[in-house]
Order: sequence, then C-alpha cells, then structure tokens
Amino acid sequence: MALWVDKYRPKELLGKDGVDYHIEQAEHLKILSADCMPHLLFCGPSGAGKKTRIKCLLRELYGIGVDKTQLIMKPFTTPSNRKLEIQTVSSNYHVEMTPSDVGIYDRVIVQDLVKEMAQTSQIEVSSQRNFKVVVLCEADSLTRDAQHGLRRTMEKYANNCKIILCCESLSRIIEPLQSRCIIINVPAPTNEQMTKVLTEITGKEKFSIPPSILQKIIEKSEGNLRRAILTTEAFKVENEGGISANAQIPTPEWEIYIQETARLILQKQSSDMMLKVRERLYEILSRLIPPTVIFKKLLEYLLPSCPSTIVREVVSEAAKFEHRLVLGQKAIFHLEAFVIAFMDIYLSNASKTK
Amino acid sequence: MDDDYNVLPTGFAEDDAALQYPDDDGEPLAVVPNEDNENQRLGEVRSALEEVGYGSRKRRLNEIEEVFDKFGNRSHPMDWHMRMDPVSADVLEKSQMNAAKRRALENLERKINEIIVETGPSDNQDEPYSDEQTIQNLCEEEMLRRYKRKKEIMKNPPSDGSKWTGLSDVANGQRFYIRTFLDDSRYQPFVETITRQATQSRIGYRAFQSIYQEAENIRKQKEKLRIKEQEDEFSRLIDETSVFESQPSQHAESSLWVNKYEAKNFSDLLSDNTVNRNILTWMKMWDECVFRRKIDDLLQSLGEREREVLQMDNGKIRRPVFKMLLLSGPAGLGKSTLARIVARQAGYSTIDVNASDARTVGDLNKVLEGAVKTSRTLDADQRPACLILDEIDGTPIDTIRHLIRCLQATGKRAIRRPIIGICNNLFTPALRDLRGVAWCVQLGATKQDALAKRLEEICDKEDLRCDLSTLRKLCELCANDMRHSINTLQWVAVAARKTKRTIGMKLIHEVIDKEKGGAASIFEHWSSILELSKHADTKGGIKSVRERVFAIEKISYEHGGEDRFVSGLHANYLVTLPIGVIRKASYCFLFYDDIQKIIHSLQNWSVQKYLYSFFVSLHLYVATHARVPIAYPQLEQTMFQKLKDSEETINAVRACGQSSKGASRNELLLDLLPSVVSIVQPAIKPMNESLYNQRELSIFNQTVSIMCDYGLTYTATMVKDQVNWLFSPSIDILTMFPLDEPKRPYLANATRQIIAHKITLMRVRLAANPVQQSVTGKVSTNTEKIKDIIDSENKKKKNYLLEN
Repeated sequence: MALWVDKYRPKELLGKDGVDYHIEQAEHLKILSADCMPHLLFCGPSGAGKKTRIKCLLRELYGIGVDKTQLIMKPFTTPSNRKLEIQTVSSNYHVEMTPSDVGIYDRVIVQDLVKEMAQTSQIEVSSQRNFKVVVLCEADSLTRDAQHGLRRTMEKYANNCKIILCCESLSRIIEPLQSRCIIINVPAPTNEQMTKVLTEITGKEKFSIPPSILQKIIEKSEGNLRRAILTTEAFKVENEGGISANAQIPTPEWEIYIQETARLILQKQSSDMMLKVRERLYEILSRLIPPTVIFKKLLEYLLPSCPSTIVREVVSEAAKFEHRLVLGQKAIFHLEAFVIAFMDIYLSNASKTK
Repeated sequence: MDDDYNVLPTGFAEDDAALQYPDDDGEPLAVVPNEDNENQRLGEVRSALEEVGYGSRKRRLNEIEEVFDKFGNRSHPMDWHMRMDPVSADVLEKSQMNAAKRRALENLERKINEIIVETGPSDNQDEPYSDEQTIQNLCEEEMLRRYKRKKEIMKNPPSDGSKWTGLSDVANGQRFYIRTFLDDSRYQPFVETITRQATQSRIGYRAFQSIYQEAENIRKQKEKLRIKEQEDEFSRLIDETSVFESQPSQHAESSLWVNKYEAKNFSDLLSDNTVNRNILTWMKMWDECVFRRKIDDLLQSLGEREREVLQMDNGKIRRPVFKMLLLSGPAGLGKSTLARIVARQAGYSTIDVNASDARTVGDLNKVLEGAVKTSRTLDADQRPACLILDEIDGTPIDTIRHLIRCLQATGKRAIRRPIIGICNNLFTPALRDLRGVAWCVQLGATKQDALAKRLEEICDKEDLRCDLSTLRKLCELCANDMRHSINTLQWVAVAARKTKRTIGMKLIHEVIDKEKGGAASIFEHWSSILELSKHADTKGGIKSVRERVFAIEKISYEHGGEDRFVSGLHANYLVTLPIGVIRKASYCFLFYDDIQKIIHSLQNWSVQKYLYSFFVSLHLYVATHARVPIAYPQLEQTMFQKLKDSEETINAVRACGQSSKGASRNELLLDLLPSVVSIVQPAIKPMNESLYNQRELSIFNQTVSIMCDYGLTYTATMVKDQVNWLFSPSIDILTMFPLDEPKRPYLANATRQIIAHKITLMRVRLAANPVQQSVTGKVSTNTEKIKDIIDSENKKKKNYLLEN
C-alpha cells in the first residue's frame, strides 16, 4: 500500500522482480558485481531509473540486508568552525548522501566524511564482500574542489570502498573522475518501454485506462518514468468516479504556472508587464524550483509562438543567460534579463514585419 | 502523599489582594461608590481573586497543617525542602483584617449608595448644624469608649503632635480638624461604628453623607496637587531634555519610553485578544499541577475550537498535552511582554533566559532543575516560577534536543511548571523537532489602529501635540513594530523640543531617514541614480554627464557593497522606457552579479572598485526626467522569507518520510510532491469510517498508508479563529501556486481529521511492531554483530561437515 512508484520499483537486476528495460545493461552490471567491482558513474536523465539500478546493484552485492536502511544526520565542522549536518541514508554495507545539500561545504564532506568512511574497513570480511559502497547523488553539482578531493580517495582506498556517483550530465564531472570510473549510461526509456511498464502496473492495479490517455501521459512525461507512473496514479485518484472522454491529465502546478507566465510575456512587452512577470518569477523561485528548470520550461513554452526568424537568437540568448546563471549568484537577475531580452527581440521583430 | 508534585501554599493570594485593593489602607472615606468602572473593576478583582485561589485558600491551609505534628515539628523531614514556609501568623492576621476591612467598606459603600438614591441632595441643607453636632458627639463618644482618646474630629488642630487634616464646612463656614491615625488597623472599628450608627439614626444618614462629601473634596484636592506636582516634574524633565547633551549621565535611568510605557497589565496588551486569552487558558491549565487546584470548570468552559488544541494529558497529575508554548512573530510585537504578563497574571514569577546567557545543555539543565522541576523555597518571591526562553531560535541544536527530551519526560523528572519559548522565526531548522512537541502560536502583526491609539495615549501623557493620522503614518513607517515606533516617537519628540517645532510628517521622515542612513537617506540615493531631476543645478538645468558621474561615483562608494541598495535599484529600475533600453540596463545587473560572485567566491576584494561602473551605467541608461516612485524592496524580502520556509518544509519531508528518504530534492519538488498532494486527497466523503463501503475504505486506507510512508500528516492549526487541519509538513504550500484557475482537490476538515487520527494510530502500530517497519532489524551493537558472525561461521562448518 504505497505509491505505485515505490510499490512497483524493480528490486533485482534480473529475474521476476528485475528491471523492465535496458536488460542487457543489467546483465552487464550483474557480471560487474560478481567480479571485483570498480567505481561506477551512473548518468542519465531524471526518472530514467539510475537510482533504481543502483539499489538493485547493491542488493545484488549484499543481499536483502541492504534494504534495512536508516536515516542519520552526520555532523561535521567546516574550516570556519561552523557546525553543520548532512543527511545520510545508510545500511550496514553502504552510505548514501547528497553532498550538494550543504552547498559550498561539499568539499569538507568529501575530505572528511567520505575519507573517514573509506578508511575504515568492513567488519564481516569473511561472510561478506570486503568493501563497502558510498553513493554520492547529484554528483554533477559537486564543486570543483570537492571533485578534486575525491580523486585521491578513490585511488588510495579503492580496496576498502567503492564509490558510486550518480549524475544527470557527464559534462560537469571532471575528466580525472570520469577516467577512474566505469560509466554506466542510463538513457530514458522509449515510449514503447514506458507503455509496457504502465500497462503492466495498471493491469496489476485493476485500473483500466484508455490507451489514448496513456499515450498522452507518456508524451507529457518526456521519458521520465517516475513522472509517468505518478501522473497515472494521480489521474486514477482524480477520476475515481469514471473516466470521461475529455479528462484532463494532471500536470504539476509549477509547470502550469510557468506556462501562464510565458503567456503573459507573449501578451504584452513592456516594463509594467515585466513587473508582473518578476513577481511570478519570485513566486516560482521561492518554491525552490531550480532556476535552470525555469529557463528550460520558459523557453519551451515561448518558442512555439516565436516566428522562425527569431528562434535562433532567442535560443542563443537563453543559453547565454543560463550559462551565466550557473556561474552567478542571484537567479532573479538572470531570469529577468532573459525575459527582457526576449521581449526586446520579439517586439523589434514584430515592428519590422509591419 | 505525592512527592512528585509539591504543594505551594503561599501568601501570594493575599499579596494579590493587597495589590488589588490599594484603597484599603488609605482613607476609608475615599472609596468612590458612584462610578461604573469602579464597580466593574471591583468585579474584575473579585473574579481575579477567585481565579488566583482566594476562595480555596482555606483548604490549602489545612493541607499545610497536616505537615506539622502536635509539637509543631514537621512530620515529613524528607520533603521539608519541597514545602514553603506556612503562612506566618501576622500575615494571616493581616489578611483577615484586610478581608474584614473590605467587607466593612463594601457595606459602607452600599449604604452610601442607598442614601444617595433615597435622599436627594437637597436634604443635605436641612439641618446642617444639628447633623454636625450629632456626628461630632457620636465620634467622640465612640472614640472615648474604644481608645480612651478624645476627639478625633476637633475644632482646633491637635496639640499632641499627631497628624491631622483640615476640613472646612461650606454650609456654616466652620473648620474642623481630623486627627489621622498612623496605625491604620484602628480605622476598621471606627468605620464599623460609624456604619452601624449611621444606619441606626436617620440623622446619622445625612451627617454621614456630608462627611463623605468633604472627604471627597479632600481627595480631589490631593489629586489636583498630585497632578500639579507631576506637571512640575514634567516641565523639569523637559528643561533637562533641552540640556540633554551636556549632562547625559544624570538622566540615564529609565527614561526610555519603551520601558516606561510597556504594558503592565493583561488588559494593556495590544496583541489579539483571543490569542492572549488562549495563552492565559493554557497557563491556567497548569493550575492542577502547580497549585493543586481543580480546573474542570476551566476545561468545560473551553469552546469547541480551543478544546482541540488545548487538551490535558492523562498523567497522574494532569498537565496540558503541550508542555511548552512557542510564541513566534516579527520583532517588536511584544512577545516577551506578553509572555511575562501572562505568567504574572496566572500567578507565576518569571525566569528569563535569553541569548545573552550561555545556553549549552549544562546551562539549560541548571535552569530547568532550578526553575521548572522543583520549587523555590528560600527565595523572597514565593510564587512558582515560569521559565521563559527568549530568542530561542539562536539556541544550539543539542540544547533544543535536550529541552525536547525534558519536555517528554514523565515521572520524577517531569516538567512541573510551564515553559514559554519565544522566537522570531518559527521555521528555523533548529526548532523543527520542537515544533512537534510545543504549542506553536504565531502572533500576527499589531493592529495599526490600536498601536496608533497607544502612541496617542503616550503623547497625551508626555504632553506632546500630535494628531492621530500622523501617528498612523509613523506606525506605517515602522511597519507596525511596537518597539520601533515608540522609540521613534521618543526621538521625534526630542527633536521637536530641540527645534521647537510641532510633530509632523516632515519631522518624522527626517528622524527616520537619519536613523537609517547617515546624512542623506537611502531613498534619496536611489532616486538620484534613477532620476535626472535630482541632478539639477541652480539654474534648473541638468548637470553635465561628467558631473553626474562624479556624484554617482560618490554614492557608489557609500553603498557599493550593500546588497540592499542594489535590491532597491533592481526593484525600482523598471520605468516606462523602450524595452531595448531596459534590456541594456538589465545587463548592468548581470555585471554586478559577476563582480559579487568573484568577490564572494574568491574573496577577491580588489575587483570591488569596479562596482561603481555598474551604478554609473545604470544611471546613464535609465535615468529620466520623470519622477520615479521609489519603493522599498519588499518583494525580495518576502521571497527570501518564503524561500527559507520552503527549504525548511522540504528538509522536513526528507527527514521524516520512510519512502522519501534518499530521494533528492529536485526529485521531490518537481515530480513526487506535486503528484502526491493530489494522490492523497481523493474524493472521500467526511463520515464515520465504519460507514464507508469496500471501495471507499480501500481508497481511505491507501491514502493513510501513503501519507504515513512519506511522513505526512494533518495538524490542527488556528487560522483566523478557526481550526483548520493543514498539511504538516506543509507540502501544499510548497507545490501549489496562485494559479488563475486553480483546479485542485481539497479535502474537508472533518475528513482530514479522521485521516490524521488514523495516521497517528498507524505510527503507533508501526512503532510497536518493528517487524513491519523497513528501518528496523538493523544489527545495532558490535556484540550482536560478532554473535551473528559466529553463528554464520558455525552454520558454514556444519554444512561443510554434512557435505563431507
């Protein structure tokens, strides 16, 4: 009785509870785990199943004991003597954490906590594997310093401790780290694979969903299987009384809100409208939606209404501002600059065509 | 005998009585019977007395007597230190005397009232001479009889040196002298006699009335004298203020209006009355534990809404479910004052621990031991203590954890006195766990009308001339911060006296600007960057670009590193200009952001000198002749606050959920939570669980288990006098946006309540049956681990043997 995403999450690499797609890769992983396992670097888009595969792999390595996890807040002290805590999920055999939770202090995490864990060896060498595993999530948001800090640790304590990195894009992982790991690319499932998974789940839940709606859900979730399953469940809950022909597919509200904002931008290009848009941007930012996601979605909703002549310019501006945003500090400046730039391009194009 | 909970038989009820009856030992004749508010006050006092335990005093006294054996020794040497000294004989006598006096006075008062109603004022003139004769004779007689002393009312001043008061009879132009006794206990029989005799004779009625009126006159005169004295004092103060700068040390004692006009009574408080009352109710709910007083009446008198929040636990001695009250709200609301006054009103003395004290676990323990777990015996102040933890949001996290452990302790180590915590921001990460065990009350902003009224009262008392609308503006400028507005008012008053001006908007602005930013205000600087008209020369023309650049460079040096200054520019730079120009201006902010990033991440302050080019280029792009209405960057601040709250919510979700652990922040925010919010709110009708059919029941159970998995529940929260069951952690606020056409599921309060109840049950069950729980089964200690290893080795050996 849990959410479908948790309930139907594959538990093993292969077999009855095995993963539903990328079977060949799963076999590959199984062979890796049977042998001496190297450091791994999982990369792939969100919702493709990276974490699921990591969990299955850990289960393959250590058996069912790895599921008995507990949540521990690990304290650490920064060089400036600030006492901070990081949340870790750990079992007897592995530790999982997201160093980017503590922002610029991730270097300390890597240098202190990870190193410390790597230095102590496993107790039960006789019955179990002689190494433990540290899973670092969101490795792509690790700062350079932290990544460099990992290099030596990965080499020196490789016998005791294997590190699994999990990231969305390889581009932000420094070369030396990439070369120390085996890179496991987990691409998003194809629409057919997703359809298969969803029909299987709805079949088990005895919930009949029209294929057309299923197709719509899959299209909307853009290869994010987690979102597809969640949307299906939300759809089921919302249409408990029976599915009407024009039933709406539940969309997260932040997406709707960004869509509305894009509509406002296209409606009128003036400084007054900019003030309204700014208020909305603040609203989105204050709910912790990552600014890069806002950029992506905003562009996605703006582009269809752009004449083809300005598309190139708009996209290049968006790329420029997103890049500067990642380097900069205050997201609102960059978002706003992009919206104003778009307004300018859009308006001058409109006046030209007249 | 229950040693855990000690009795506190103290004299505080009597103290209170003395406090509430200042008239008792003044002139008996000065009781004013004919004012409505006086009666009302009397009623209030009486009910207050009843509340504080005046009525039950006797019972408690009996309890103390049990402690002493016939020799007067204490029968329980073990717990003597837990007990207060019994009420000493003279205190007791005095209090009885006070009670008798009061009764006599009340009688007198009533009779005077009757007389006034029965006989018109014209009766007074009938036979003044004979009346006077009678009363003189009566008094003389009585005095002789009782005290062997002659003449308390005389025609000449007394010659034996005792104090006297002169009285003149207007009717026949005579003057009397009344000898006043220093020993006020003698008044009591005196009053009684007069009362008795006044009731006995018809003549006495009138005589009495005339004396009463004269006494009244005296009182009024005294009042006038007092007022005059005050005025003298005041004018002296004013004189001193004018030479304030030359002799600052003489005037150091509390002349701060904030302290002078701090609320002194419960009725003085400006915060929301319902909230105040609820808090007081909570304090009173401790009475059973602290004062051993029945509180069933109180519990029954609670309204439906309050009853959901204010509940008692079912310990041996019942205490409220929430052992601690957590007050929160922005600065200057009067939180600390509220806490102190409520504690005093409920009969406690307060122990204040704030950020200036050391607050490690050890320190906290000391305070807790001293204040809350035991009673104070050797202090002069016999009232039980109430601990007030001020500025709790800055406390180290392990101290908070320790506090929570103490709050949850039962038995010998249980908390026996109320604790009040005060913080500005309820959503500080350190307070996360505390929020669950404490009753959180968020105080709303002070009402502007009430605050302006209070300021007006202060003005009246300080003899300032200032109209209400100006005061309103002042409140607005200070964002309804009580402390800040009173402080500002005081400074404005000083400035007004110095310059001999009346208090007006202009002066207030001047003072506030000076306070905020040196010679010229930050607002002026903002507008000199955004407006050309600020750079006009003497002839009315605009200065050259060169001159303007210099002026702005100067401003930039003053405010360069100040984030607030740039925020203000950012909030105000969107003026009506072609969008192309604004685009260029927006690039300036990117430049600023770049420089800030370099400064902060690399600590390279040498680039700060280039910041001025940002201000200059922004000015050259956007400065216009039009007037720019400058607003303070509110939006950014609110968003920052919201951001903090959101972060706190998401961290809470990650910390408490079983399934959500390990899920990354973006995963939760972008995919999981938006769907979960709608999944856990299916269309369930609010009704008894047993009435659901099979399908509805399965949906219901599904909802409960999902919420349990993710550590979500509903909690009762007071929103505008209504109890609402809201998500906790508040993921709905996190995921729901102010959409144009919101189409979202929403469960009725009743359903939420049922679900919350179910979740609590489920959590208890999970805790009791750890097998079902996914977290448990972990081999916890090394010995167990080693045992496991040995077991498995043994098994292996066995297998090996079997195989061979």
